[in-house]
Amino acid sequence: MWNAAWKGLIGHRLRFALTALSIALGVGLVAASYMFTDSLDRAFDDLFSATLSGFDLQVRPEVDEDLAFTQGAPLPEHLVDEIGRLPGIDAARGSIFGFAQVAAGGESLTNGTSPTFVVSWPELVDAFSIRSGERPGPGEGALDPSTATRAGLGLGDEIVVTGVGAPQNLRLSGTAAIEGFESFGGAVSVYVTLETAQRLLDLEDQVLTIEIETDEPLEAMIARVETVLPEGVEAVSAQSAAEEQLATFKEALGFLNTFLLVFAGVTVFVAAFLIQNTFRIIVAQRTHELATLRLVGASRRQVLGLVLVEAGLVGMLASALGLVLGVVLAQAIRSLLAFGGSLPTTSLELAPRTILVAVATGLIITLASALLPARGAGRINPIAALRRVLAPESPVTNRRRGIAGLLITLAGVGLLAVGLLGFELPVSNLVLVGSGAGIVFIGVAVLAAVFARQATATLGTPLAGLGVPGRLAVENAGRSPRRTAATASALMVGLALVGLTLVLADSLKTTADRLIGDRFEADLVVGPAGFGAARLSPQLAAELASLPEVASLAAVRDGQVLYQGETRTLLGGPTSLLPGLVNFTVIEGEISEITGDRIGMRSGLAEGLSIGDPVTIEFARTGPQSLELAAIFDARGIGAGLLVDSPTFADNFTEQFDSQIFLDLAPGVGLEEGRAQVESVTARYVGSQVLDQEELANEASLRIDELVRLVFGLLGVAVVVALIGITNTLTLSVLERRREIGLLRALGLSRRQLRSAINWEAILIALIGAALGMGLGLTFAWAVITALDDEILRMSIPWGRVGLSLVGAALAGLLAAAVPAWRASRRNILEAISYE
Amino acid sequence: MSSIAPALPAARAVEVVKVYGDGPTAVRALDGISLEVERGRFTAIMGASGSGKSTLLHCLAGLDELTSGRVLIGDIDLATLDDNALTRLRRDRIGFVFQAFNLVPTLTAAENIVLPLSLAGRQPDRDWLEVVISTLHLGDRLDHRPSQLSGGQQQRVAAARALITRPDLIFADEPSGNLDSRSGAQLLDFLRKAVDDFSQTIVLVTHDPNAAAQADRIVFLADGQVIDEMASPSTDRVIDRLHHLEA
Repeated sequence: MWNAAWKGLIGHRLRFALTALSIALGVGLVAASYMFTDSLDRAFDDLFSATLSGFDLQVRPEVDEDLAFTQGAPLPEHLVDEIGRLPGIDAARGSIFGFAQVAAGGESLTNGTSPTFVVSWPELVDAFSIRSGERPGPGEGALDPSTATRAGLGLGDEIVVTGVGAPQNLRLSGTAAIEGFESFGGAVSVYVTLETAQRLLDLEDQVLTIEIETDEPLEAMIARVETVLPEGVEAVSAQSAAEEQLATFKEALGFLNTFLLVFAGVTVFVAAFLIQNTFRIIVAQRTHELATLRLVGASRRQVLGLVLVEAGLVGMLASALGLVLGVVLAQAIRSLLAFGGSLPTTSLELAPRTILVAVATGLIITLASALLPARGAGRINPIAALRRVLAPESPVTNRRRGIAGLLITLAGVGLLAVGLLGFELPVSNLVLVGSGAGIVFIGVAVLAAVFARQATATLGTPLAGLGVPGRLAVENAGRSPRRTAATASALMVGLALVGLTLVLADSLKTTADRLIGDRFEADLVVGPAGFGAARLSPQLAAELASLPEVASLAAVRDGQVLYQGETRTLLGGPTSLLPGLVNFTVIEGEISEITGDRIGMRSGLAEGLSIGDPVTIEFARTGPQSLELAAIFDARGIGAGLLVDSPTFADNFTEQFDSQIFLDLAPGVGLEEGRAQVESVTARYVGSQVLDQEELANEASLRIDELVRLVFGLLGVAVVVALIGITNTLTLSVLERRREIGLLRALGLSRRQLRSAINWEAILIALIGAALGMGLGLTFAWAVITALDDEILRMSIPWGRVGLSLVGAALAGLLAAAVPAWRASRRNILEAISYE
Repeated sequence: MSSIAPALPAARAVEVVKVYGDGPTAVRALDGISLEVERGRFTAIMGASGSGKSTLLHCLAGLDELTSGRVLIGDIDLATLDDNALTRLRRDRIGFVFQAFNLVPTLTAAENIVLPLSLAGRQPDRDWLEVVISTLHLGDRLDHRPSQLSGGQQQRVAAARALITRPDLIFADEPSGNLDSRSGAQLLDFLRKAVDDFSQTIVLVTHDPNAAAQADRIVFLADGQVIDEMASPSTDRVIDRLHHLEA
């Protein structure tokens, strides 16, 4: 049996090669997802172990783990000495870490959208080392080597660092980095003395953490240290601090992995269509051979087993190839998800789990997809061995197929609806929506076989003008409806997701365009450039406010807090000025009433509350605080659901950076003129950009486009698999029709005409898939937007791009046909028509 | 056709050699054959399996390349033509009837008949189409697909297709080989009629003495060489000659 299967595989290696490639791409994407996130995991693991090595204990403010990315209350610096004096402590050092901006020669040293960190020199951390020059002294700073090289800076050059306080001119003392990391994943880092860091971040006589060296047992030392710690401060071992940080990042990475696996899943799903199709075609083409096996005594089970063993072998080979492809794809994902280089990179991690999951995926999906064709093979009647001519595809029992397809589609729609409308079920909605969509795809694919013939005839009507090649293309595309439908359906899945993405993105964009004017009254908005990893120094707002061209200005800050157990963004700003600069729809109360220990809430959060009710907010720095509800509002101009005034924000957060500055120009100052003045100030603050209302709208579009590109990049693999499917089907069909092709060639069909016929056949199949996919994609988009039930979001269909996608699909079909068409046109005519 | 001098044969093979493979396993399928196919006549090529008769037909029709020697259709040396020109030559000046698989399964009988013209982007001559269809008794089968036709009907459609372009010559390779004797005889009658009524040139490859007897002239092949000829044959004389040759 194994021998026969192996021989079958070798004998039909061309037919299996493309199938294997399609499975390999799906498996590759699965493997790549794991490899990519494992490498990130590993990189962060290394990074945190390195930054938290060399000392034994860390003293830090207690912070709820949901607010782990927010700094707690700073520690008084005298605590460092108090701890240092405790018996058994070898050394205790305070340290500070925060955001800053660095410039040299009037130019920012920013690296794209990566953040810039200021770090007090970590004396106790072994992993930090001076790469050149010396460690920073007073009035000095050391840069990470890659930034220094990029900016062409040498020892003794001057750099300007701006934190919360006034900019400081520092002399470059050298370069420094962690062992094995040139930088924190692309970020710019400046190392300074603790005193300089305190001044830069406005933390006089304070530190953020204290690192401790000791040789005594850690448990006992933690207890001893804690005797001198005030309320809200804790001591932990360096190791558990590293583990906690890693766990926090792993949670974020877990989402990334899920995101990538969704696309890998789509690719595997598309590949499944192809595997099933290929095996069915191959079984049909080998009817004679398999029937002969039956004739000489092979049982049904044995024939079924033979096909399944072949499938298993293909699956194994493909999985192995997929692992190799995974390495390539992981690199591609890494560059696609570079986030401006802000993720650390290490060598790719190939965990045993990755290999196991990848191989299992490849094997299971191949076997499952081959199951139906294998059953068909088992049913082949031995008498077929005696027939000379290949039986044509058994006529589709349209009625039964139609009903089955309809039922499957309806079941899928039902699941989708339940998922989208969010009925309370013990299954996560994403799983419901995903499997619902998958079932709809299968249902439509079944239905497509019923209509494939009609569809090719209709779509192919214009091809009549092409003469025989056009006629042949239409007839050939329609002659095996199931084959055509399955091939087209693979592309349908990819195109449906393309369509969905296009419509959702366009709806968001046009909604943003429409609303941007409603969002702001402000003439200009200053914000961080890029994805907001940079922060604005409060100095910037102070400088802007002093410009005569600026009439009024509101700088807002945001931070994470806990409200009713959920992490929320809280905004702090001058509440008396904000209503004039940002459009609020006030439902109850007054925005300007939000002062002191009073708070405003977005209507969605304030359900069941009324003005005057107490609201408990938990801050990382100050813990739970009771505030009084002063306003309930809706506002699209700000991203936060909670609003307090600036002094309240300053009291409750350690980090004091602005996130956005809204400003109105003085009467009589033109937009261009005012903008020029504002930009002359922001130019000195790296990572900031000035936008007017129109640009803000564009900015929103750019962000959405960026996301769309990412999604398309990942969907691309699925589309490539679908195209391989078209190539595969055509290759098999050409092989099957070689006699007919030889006849046509003998009768005077030129090579060019033959290629044309095959090309048009591919285009027809691709167009059917693309049209079905686009139709489904638009329907899904409509369903999603309807389910969101958002009063602002309106569906908008980018017909241009939809049309472009269809044209692109047709061209891709042409590309897919290139090799089979060329091979067919080069075939020896005699070989095709000889029958001796 | 009128531009070609009447004395010129429809096709000529000059010292044609065809070798398959190389080294010790090489097979000389055609071993220096020279042959003229006379215009307006019915020529049969006979020989046992492996005598090279099908290879000769393929070489004459430009379907296979020669190892050495020349083949001319009219005054055109096939060796001077590239694939496109050869394709056009087959389409416009040669007709084929093969033993089986003659028809494109996705096209109707009518479409199959006019296929060479459609390939050239030309409209059929209505009158001639009528004549061909009625001659071959295909009037009520035109909308059928090949799978809906009997073997005899399929071969008649193939014959009609070969005739439709009024080619310089028609090559028929065992056209009745897969048919029952009645259908086979009927088909050969039609071919004979095409020569007599329309002055069509036909080359028939066969090993069936009954079929060959319809021809004006028989060329006997063995081991890739012409070993004998017979003019105005009858079935008995052919059988007689075959016995003679085998002995």
